[in-house]
Amino acid sequence: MNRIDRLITEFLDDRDSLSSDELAELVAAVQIDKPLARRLKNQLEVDELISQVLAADRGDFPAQMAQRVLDQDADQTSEITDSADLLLRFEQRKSDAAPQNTQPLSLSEPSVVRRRSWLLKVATVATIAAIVFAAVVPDDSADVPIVQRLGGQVVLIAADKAADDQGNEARLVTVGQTLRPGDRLKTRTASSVVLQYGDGTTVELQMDSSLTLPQQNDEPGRRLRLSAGTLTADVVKQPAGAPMQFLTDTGTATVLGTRLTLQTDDHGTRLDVAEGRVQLADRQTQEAVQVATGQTGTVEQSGVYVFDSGWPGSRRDIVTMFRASDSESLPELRDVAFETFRRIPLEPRGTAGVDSLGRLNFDGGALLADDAAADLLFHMQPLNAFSLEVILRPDNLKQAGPARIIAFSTHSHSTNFSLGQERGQLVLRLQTGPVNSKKAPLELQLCELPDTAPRHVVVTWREGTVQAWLDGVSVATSHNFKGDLTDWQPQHLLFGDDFDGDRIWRGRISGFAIYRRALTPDEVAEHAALATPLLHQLTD
Amino acid sequence: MSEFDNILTRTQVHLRAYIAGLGISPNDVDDLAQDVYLEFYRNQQARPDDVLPERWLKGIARNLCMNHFRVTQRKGAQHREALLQILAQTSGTIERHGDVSEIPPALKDCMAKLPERSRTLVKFRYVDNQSAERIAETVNMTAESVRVTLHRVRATLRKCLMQKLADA
Repeated sequence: MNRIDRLITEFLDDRDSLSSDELAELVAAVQIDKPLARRLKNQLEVDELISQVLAADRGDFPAQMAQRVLDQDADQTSEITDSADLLLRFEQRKSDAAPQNTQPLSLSEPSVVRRRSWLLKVATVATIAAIVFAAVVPDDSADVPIVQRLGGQVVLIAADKAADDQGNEARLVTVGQTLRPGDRLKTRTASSVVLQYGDGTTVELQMDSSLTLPQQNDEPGRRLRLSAGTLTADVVKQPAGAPMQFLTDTGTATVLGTRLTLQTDDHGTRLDVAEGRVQLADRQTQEAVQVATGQTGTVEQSGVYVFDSGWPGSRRDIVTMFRASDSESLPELRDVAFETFRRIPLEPRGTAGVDSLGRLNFDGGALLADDAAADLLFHMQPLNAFSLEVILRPDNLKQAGPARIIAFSTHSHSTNFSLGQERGQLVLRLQTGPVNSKKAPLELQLCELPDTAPRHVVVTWREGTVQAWLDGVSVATSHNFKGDLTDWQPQHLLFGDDFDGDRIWRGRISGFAIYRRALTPDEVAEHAALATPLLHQLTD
Repeated sequence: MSEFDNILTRTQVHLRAYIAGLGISPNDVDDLAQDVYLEFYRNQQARPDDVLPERWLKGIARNLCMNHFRVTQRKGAQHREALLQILAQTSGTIERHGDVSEIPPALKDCMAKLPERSRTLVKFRYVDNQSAERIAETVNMTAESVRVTLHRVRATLRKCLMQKLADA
């Protein structure tokens, strides 16, 4: 847990616990990190909701409020509102501090008090109304684009026209035309339009798409709403604090300066970033990800995701994963609280280690990831399904024990799960309930390894059933793994051996992932295809 | 039921969560919420027809909460105000979701699914109103572990709640 996370947990525990310097540090952090601010707000809101549900003295707020209103009605003799009273006192202090040659206001005369309090009451209401109104009324000075280029016929439904689906009240767009807030553009098959803003930002609406310039814009920066189809944008650097936002029914892409492609349909939103960095948020939950150059972000019914091209594709529902790379070749683990990924250190035992190509190399030792063990247990214990995916190459078909490829265990009889090799076989051991502490985990022979070639292996468990795939082909199914994982014990996460050190596996791993759900057969096939480059990395 | 009562019933869970989401201490949330509704009640005519009550209430809440820090002169009031401004501009999750009547039962369902140890910590914290230090002494953990675990529990509950509200 980093320092800012610690400050947040302390602030949640007691809002007055942080020193002035610590508060300043927290403010600085959330000011520049919007997702962090959102997580803090989410925590504060949930903290309040739990309190509303559980705290005995908070359950009847409406009744308490009703009583307060009754008290207020009974106190009609006083015309001085609390707010007006505050202002009145403020005025009094000002007049007290006024130079002696200025005639002070006598507040002791009832008629003066009444008149002044009435005026102040009006002023107070007007002030509050102005503040609130300013927050909800759009700014008419928002900049708007012009039509720079046209391909085919594009329909404009003007802001002041009530258009229908047949295009009534609509007209064709012309080059050089200035659009206004509320205008809607619709392209047809084989038509497109390029819009340009004064700062050079361009937006191309592709065929069969619909784009609206929102009427209301109560936040700084430009907004465009894509209700169907695809747009590409080349956004020049926007002013700090005033990003350009692209909205769809499901997602919001927030841009400071980049090239991107945004698509939306009934299934969600997809964002491809060609250059720069874009924040993509789920409009319903406000969960957000940063999508960088070469990455794709999606907003789906189940959440918002970002992934690089290549294996494993989306990181949706991954608990921990590793992919060999030239830099930062360490496993990543999903943070339990924040749902972000962090690198987990590997402690080498014997001659195991990460080689120059970023692969995990086992020729007589193991890699221990104890830093991940507690969080892994926290993630997996409540699950009723999971998947284990490994891209590996064994050194030989003689090793036995089974030799442990991946193990979440302490020794043979104290294992949450392990994937091992028993000569030419891949073997799964999995502890499911109802757990008898003396009962060994169930073992399943998954498949025969015909040779020592690189392999893509997937094992899934759901509703008592284990299924296994080798290189995308289904190789095993067993319905014997009934129960759940609730009695899993704190164990050690190791690669290449058991914790007690006598089940050494020799080989290489270029990728692995553990998911908090069972992958579907289609996903397994897709992952097997995506894994090809990592399989090639094991062929030297 | 009057229009005010309707608005109160419909918005009170969200408004209190909104106020808490601005960094207000839990002990002050209900008092401030009452002040907000009273201000709203007194000046109902001031609300333009095209501004929803929820939005109007939030505007009042933001101003009263800001004033709260100034009047009470809390430690680091300036920073608390700055934090409030940032949080006010940050979209929350809960405040946008669901029929208010769905939230308490959904949250109770989610709490029932927590592991026993987490439920115990939640009880100490929210029913018995104990600090992390006090809980730590009782359950033989460090205060930091208690805070981190409660943080995780809240994240888990939020996720569960969102799922339930989405499914409802």
